[in-house]
Amino acid sequence: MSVAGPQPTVQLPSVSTPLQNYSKDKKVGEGTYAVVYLGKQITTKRNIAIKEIKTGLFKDGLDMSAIREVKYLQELKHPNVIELVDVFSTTNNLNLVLEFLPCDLEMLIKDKSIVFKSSDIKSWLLMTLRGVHHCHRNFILHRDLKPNNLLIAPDGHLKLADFGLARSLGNPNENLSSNVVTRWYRAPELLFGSRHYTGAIDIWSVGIIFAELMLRIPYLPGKDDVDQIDVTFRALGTPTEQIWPNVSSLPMYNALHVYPPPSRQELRQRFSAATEKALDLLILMTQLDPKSKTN
Amino acid sequence: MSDREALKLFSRQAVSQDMINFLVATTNSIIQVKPRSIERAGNYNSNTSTTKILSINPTISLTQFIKNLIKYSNVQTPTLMATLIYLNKLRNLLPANAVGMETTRHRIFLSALIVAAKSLNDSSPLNKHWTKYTDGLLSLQEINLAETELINLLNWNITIKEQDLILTLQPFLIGIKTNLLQKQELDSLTRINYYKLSSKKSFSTYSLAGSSSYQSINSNLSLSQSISSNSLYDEDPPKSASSTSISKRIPLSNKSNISSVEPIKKKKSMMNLLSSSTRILA
Repeated sequence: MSVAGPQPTVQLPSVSTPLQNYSKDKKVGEGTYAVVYLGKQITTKRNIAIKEIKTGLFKDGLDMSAIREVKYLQELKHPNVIELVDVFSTTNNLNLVLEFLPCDLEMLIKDKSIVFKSSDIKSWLLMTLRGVHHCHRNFILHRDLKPNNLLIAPDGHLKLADFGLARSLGNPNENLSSNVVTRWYRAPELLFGSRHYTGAIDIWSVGIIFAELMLRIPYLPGKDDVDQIDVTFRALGTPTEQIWPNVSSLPMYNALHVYPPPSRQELRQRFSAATEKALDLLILMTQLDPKSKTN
Repeated sequence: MSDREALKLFSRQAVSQDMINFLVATTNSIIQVKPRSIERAGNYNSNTSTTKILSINPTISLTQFIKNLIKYSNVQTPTLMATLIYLNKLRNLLPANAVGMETTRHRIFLSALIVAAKSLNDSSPLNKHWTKYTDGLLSLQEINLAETELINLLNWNITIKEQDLILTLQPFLIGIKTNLLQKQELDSLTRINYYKLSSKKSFSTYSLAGSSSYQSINSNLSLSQSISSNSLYDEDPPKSASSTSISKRIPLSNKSNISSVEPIKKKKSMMNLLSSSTRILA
């Protein structure tokens, strides 16, 4: 075995699953560090997606987000979380075999020929929250919820995907990185650089996705990190010590333009199709103080 | 006190010499190394034949290697706990007669540590940093290879279950549990005796020595007080110090009283320990 180094004394059988079990039929996407193929599991004829991570490019060993994605997907088996079918590595690549999900929420939001009924939004939101709840009750934060990562199965099931930024919540005194979550869906405590946060950051993201589903355009599209703070608080009011005790002690809290919180009437105008109950939920999920967010 | 609670306490402790020894022992138990290496370590000066680098620079002991890694990388107990689980998993996978070379155990330990750190911490060192931490023992390529090999051997089975942790760390948990029990007993005695004494002071005109029934009522009464004023104790060292000195002076006579109040005490003193241990860490 070559854990032993360049002079192997014991030969062990290879334990990784050979590529022959799966076919790679079509390239469907290419990101900075991975290529996604459509394929089939040969034995079962089941459709699958293969996420091929180019480890060869990384001079620094195994990619951290790949390790995490595998670890958390193994732990989280749930109808609303994408299923990890298999993992195997070839000489230069690491391959994650995932359940095939042809569609994501971003595609649906952008396709203006599709009309969303309130029942559609309701059920997507419910399935998202079920998935998030499953993560949180296993002490895992997703940390990158956005429409693009909410995939839809052919039977309509919505599933959380992309756990590359996920992490488990351990000791309360552990420092967490505040540089997580795609900008538009980043909670205020992250914008202020908080190193100790909770599942509330995922709930915030879900709230912003909920708003986007109703508006059909991104709700808080900040152009950069500074602009994101401005856009966020213009829409939802600037947090003060009064509504969020100790907010000013966060690392990146400094002289802010103080916007008043939106009145109910303003929100009603912005979300003209929303029912009163939908507005209630949206307001609850976008509370500025993470402690007052309800789960 | 349950295993789970002991585990929680353990994870908050600083890295101890015992933990390092345990890691070394676990790593040693995974694979044998060629006995040749021991000879060489003994008289490496005279041995110039085989590998040049090794004869110049004898392999660092595993204990020192692990110590250095922990020092340079500043990894904390939880990461080492995860490392231990991976090492155990690996031991179960390798054949018992597997033999490695001199640095095999070093490689195994480091790769397990890297996988644990990458999967648990937001700011894990990169492999090039780990290379530096080995003080030149291993190259980046070797570390990358060892990491990949480990994760393939584990077949990407890198989840960690609470039960695994409890089983693996049992030697430490037993110690924590007994220590806590002892501390609880001492605490409850201390407290009872302290209140006995303070009541003695206030009712100094009465002679308490003879009336045992009065004593027991008194200590039961003081219990509710002691619970409510507990947090005060932690912040007030002179007071608590005086209470311990009192406990030394007074013989531990009223065991029968303790048994009746123990359940409540137990819970409370554990909370005490928890809060004090977090304070140390913070």
